Amino acid sequence: MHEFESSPRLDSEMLSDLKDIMEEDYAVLLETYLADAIVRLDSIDAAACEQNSSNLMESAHSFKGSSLNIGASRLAGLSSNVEILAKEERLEQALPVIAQLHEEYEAVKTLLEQELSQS
Amino acid sequence: MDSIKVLVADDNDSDRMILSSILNRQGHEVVQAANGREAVELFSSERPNLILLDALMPEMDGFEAAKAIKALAGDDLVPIIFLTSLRDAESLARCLEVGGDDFLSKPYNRVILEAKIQAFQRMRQMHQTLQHQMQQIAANNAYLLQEQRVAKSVFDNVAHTGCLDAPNIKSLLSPLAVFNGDVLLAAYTPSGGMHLLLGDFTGHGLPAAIGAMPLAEIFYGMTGKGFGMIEVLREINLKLKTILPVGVFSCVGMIEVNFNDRSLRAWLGGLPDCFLVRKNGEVEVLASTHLPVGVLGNSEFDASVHEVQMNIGDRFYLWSDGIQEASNGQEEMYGEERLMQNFTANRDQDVLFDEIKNSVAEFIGDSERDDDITMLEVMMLDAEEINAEAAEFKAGAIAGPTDWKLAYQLGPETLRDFNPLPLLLHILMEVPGLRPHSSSLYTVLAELYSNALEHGVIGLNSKLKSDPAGFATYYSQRQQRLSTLTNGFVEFVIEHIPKKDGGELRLQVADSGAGFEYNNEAAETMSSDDEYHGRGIPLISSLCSDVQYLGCGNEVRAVFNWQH
Repeated sequence: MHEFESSPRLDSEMLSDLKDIMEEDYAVLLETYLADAIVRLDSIDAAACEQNSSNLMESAHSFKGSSLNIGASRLAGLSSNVEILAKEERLEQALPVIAQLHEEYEAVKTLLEQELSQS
Repeated sequence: MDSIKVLVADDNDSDRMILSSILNRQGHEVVQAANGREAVELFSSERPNLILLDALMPEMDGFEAAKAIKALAGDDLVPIIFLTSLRDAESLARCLEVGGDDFLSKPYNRVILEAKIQAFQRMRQMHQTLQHQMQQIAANNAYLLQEQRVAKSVFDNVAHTGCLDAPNIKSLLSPLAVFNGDVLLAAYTPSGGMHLLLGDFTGHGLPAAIGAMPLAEIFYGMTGKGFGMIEVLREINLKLKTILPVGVFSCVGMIEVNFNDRSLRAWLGGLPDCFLVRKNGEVEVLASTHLPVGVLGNSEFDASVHEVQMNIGDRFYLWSDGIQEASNGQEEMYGEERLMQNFTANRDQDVLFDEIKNSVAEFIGDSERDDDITMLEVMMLDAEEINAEAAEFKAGAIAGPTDWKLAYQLGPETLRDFNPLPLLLHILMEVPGLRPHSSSLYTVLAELYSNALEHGVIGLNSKLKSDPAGFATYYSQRQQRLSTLTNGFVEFVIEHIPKKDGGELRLQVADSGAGFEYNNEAAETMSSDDEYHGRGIPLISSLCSDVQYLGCGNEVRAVFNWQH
């Protein structure tokens, strides 16, 4: 299990890098990430509900990747934990982590929306 | 670094956007795919130089896509970098298994990405250079083979096998390379005999084969013109000595077969011992007594030969050292002893040649050969039998003027300082088979010509030459009278009539002189008449069948009968 409590919710250095890379597309990127995240969270919920561990693993893995790239380290860490539990077929234990994932997402979303309104 | 086309395949829109932006900013062209299937399709249509592939994707995952793309790429180098946040060794190993070349983990780092792209660019360029060079090598090789084929056809035309398919010959010539360092030649002589030559040049392949061309040219040219074996060998030796570099020479065995008196002459230089096998099975060994040809200058050339009498059915064997030195791959050579065993074990001489051939082949087996293998068997046949063959062969192969007549008149200016004899002799030598008689013919023509010129045209007295003082007077008068010659002529009328086994050469020489008191009977009885001796008539009579003076003695006729 990843220990990520200490890591920042959003890595500001990474965000400024992304701003630099994406230039005028920066806002589009953040919006795309947020839209993508909803799709991922939905499929994570569906897989957990259907007890489909392999779908759960894939969705969590994918969400981990995009969260890493956006600098959302805690979100990536929680996704990683879900992925590991799904892989080990420990679905019962995954449920509370999925709940945490939703909470963390809401927090990240708020921060990103602030970022969007500033840029 | 040049810009390249990169295919990015990732099902996460945001990840794909980030990667594409990084690549665009670095100046590369990007094509995007949202799953494995799209990635394979785009690879076919866009032919990107580099592929960034997410491992886990819907529709078709990265592993499947990588396999398909590697198959489509064929010999082209298309690096695949797996985009992954996978960390377990098993997954990473699977990426490599399907053809992945590297990994890029999330979150993406543009410095690392650019470093990887540059590394692959260099690799791709090296690969291209390598492929280009390989194509060039293949093209060069094809060109070289084409050249060799052309050269080989010229070579085969020059160093053709002559009459190797005659009924008394069996031969084996098995080259190691396209070109053969060994050479086997056979030709009927104009007199119905046979010349055979087995040559083994140092080395093999093209460098060895080059020397075989002049060798074959001389062998066939001179044999056809009636030169004897030793004359042919002298010429070959001189030629090879002149053209081949030091250290390159040819071991040669040449034999001259005379079917009329059933004899065989062999000149053996540098070859392994040759065998003469009698019909009763007795084996006589003939050793090489000479150095290979192309080593010594012609003044040191040794013309001594083995002379053997043969009976019908006796066989002569010669070979290059390729047989004795044939290896079985276990550092063991075929050797004299195994070769000899074939002769002692043989029960039917008609199959002896094949027995040896098979025995050597069996010994070598599948091991690598390292020399040309050449072997020749010549059997003594009845003259009648071989003549029928030779006549058939000759009809097409040897042609030349046989029935002709010429008149050649030399006027005073020409007579002063031109010697017509080489020209006339050259014309005579074109008659197939007449060449062996060249020295006799030269003697006859020279005597007839000097008689006509000196005693006829300029009227010198042959009696002057009877003492040394007279000799000097004779030659000073000759020079003085010739240099002031203003009229007179010498005329040659020469006719050749082909006869069975030879021909009849009619020589007639007339001059503008006063003639002399001749007595045709005296010529035939070899009288000691001074005038006749002074004119060399007895010598001419000994070479010609019919010497007749005509008219007032300023015209002489002689007939030279010759046989093959």
